[in-house]
Amino acid sequence: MGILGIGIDILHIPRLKQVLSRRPDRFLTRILTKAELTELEKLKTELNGEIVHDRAIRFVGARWALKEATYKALTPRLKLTWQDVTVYKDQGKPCLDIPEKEKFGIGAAHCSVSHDGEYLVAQVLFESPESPKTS
Amino acid sequence: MFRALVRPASTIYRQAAIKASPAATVARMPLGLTFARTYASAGLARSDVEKRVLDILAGFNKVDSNKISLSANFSKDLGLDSLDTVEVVMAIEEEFSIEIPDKDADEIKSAAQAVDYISKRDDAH
Repeated sequence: MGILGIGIDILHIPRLKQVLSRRPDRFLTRILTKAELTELEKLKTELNGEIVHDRAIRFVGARWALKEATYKALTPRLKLTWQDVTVYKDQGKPCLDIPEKEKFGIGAAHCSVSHDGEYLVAQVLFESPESPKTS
Repeated sequence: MFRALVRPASTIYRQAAIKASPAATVARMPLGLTFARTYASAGLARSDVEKRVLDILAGFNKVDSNKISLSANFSKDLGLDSLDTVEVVMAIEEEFSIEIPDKDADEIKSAAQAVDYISKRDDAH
């Protein structure tokens, strides 16, 4: 397997909080996919509907940064948009679901997120697609 | 801070409702065409569009008002990053009551490009 690209993004969390308090609805429907919005709704229920709760902000922030990192990993060859990528968790680890990855010509994705205080950083690495098996 | 902020929240909800319901989208089509005809003759003047877009940029605290111009690149000249740019696009959506798809939003990197885009949208008002 070869490496297709690597991308990284850093986010100052208070800025996201400001954007979310100004335009929560449109920002969320622009950045998050339906599956992610459903997850966020579940989280908000736990948090008594608070979108500006730290956990909700971190949820949105991690997805924002992972999608930015995805964009950076693939640009300029490809330009994925917010709705092309869904972030989900597998045993606590963030993973990317890109339904059209075969069409885009990208292989497996690996990602990692780290937080410290007001900052959050996300990294994404893409493998080249697996070459077709010759039998 | 943002002029768009004082607008009724119903703008946002209306957009959300349109997006959520295919039936609403279909029902909106004839209305959109009527608007296009009305406004094409009444005129959404280019100078008016330019002023409204530049006003949106002026509403951003971090933008140096001396650097604002139609040709100024959001990132290189105005120092806006990706989060700011998404906010600019959302502010334009609110100001002109339109929804800008991601693919189109990605190509809007200056006020001039925003004005060109809005001029092509018959449903902008």
